[in-house]
Amino acid sequence: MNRDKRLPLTETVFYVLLALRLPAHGYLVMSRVEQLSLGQVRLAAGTLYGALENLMKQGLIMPVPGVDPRRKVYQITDGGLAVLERDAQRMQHMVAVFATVPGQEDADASV
Amino acid sequence: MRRFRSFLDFDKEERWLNEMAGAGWLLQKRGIGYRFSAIEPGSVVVRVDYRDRVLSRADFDNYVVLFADSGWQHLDGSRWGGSQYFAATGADPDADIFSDAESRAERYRRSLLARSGTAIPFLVLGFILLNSGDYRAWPQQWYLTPGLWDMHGAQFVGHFLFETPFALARGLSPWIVLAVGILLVVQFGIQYRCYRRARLVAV
Repeated sequence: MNRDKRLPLTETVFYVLLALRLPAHGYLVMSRVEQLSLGQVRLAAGTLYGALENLMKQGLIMPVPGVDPRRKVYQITDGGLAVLERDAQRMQHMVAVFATVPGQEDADASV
Repeated sequence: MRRFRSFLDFDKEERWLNEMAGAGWLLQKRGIGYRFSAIEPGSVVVRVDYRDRVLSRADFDNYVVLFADSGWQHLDGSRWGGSQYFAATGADPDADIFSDAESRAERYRRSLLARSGTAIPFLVLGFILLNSGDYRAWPQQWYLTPGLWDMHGAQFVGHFLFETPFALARGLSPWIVLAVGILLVVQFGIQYRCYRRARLVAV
């Protein structure tokens, strides 16, 4: 099977895309990512800005009209959504296969 | 207060700016050298970002506001690109504008991108000037005043001194242009090594 070259997404990109399924400006993306990741992923301003720039360049997110002209609002594109879903499926498979492949410690337990 | 220093290594620059802040001097403006204003020693952390592209007024506002929203005040930097300096007042001396090593390394890549190609016009122009039929290698040939070398005494000194600035410009300018080109190549190389080092940390 031909794999999408953009996969796997980094943890940062995955959460940013996930957060942008609803429109948000930069700071809102940061707090949503922190919530969604249960505090595991705390994006700093420079890292988020770079990620947003790259995602715009790749056409995975787009600017949408916002209220405050000083805070740009972004939202995921159809292309972004497709990549996000493919990456989620990839991870779902990894989690499922993790449960089915036995290791040495299982063999030891059954002896 | 003003200090004259120059950095290709953002990490070194940050370290120095934070040493200064620790001693009570916060960066105010970077122009020719760095200008500092007095603060309470050790109360501020300084970080450096780099923008390789020109931002519209609105985009630059958005950039600065995003940092401000998360506690980073923009100290200096232009929307036309280049280094961007930020400060945070807080207890955490490890506060950073980057949350992973990869994005921290990316600022070197952006700077290298902005530098790439700048040396080429200088090298080409220097080469063309040296190889144009007009270039003379010997300093004597740089003087064009008719009969200069047959003059004597005050007449010679007067004409000689008068033409010297023009002669030097004529004779040395190709070398100066070439030297600028070579300097730019060397700077690129030094910063590339910083990028490689930052990438290694990221992996």
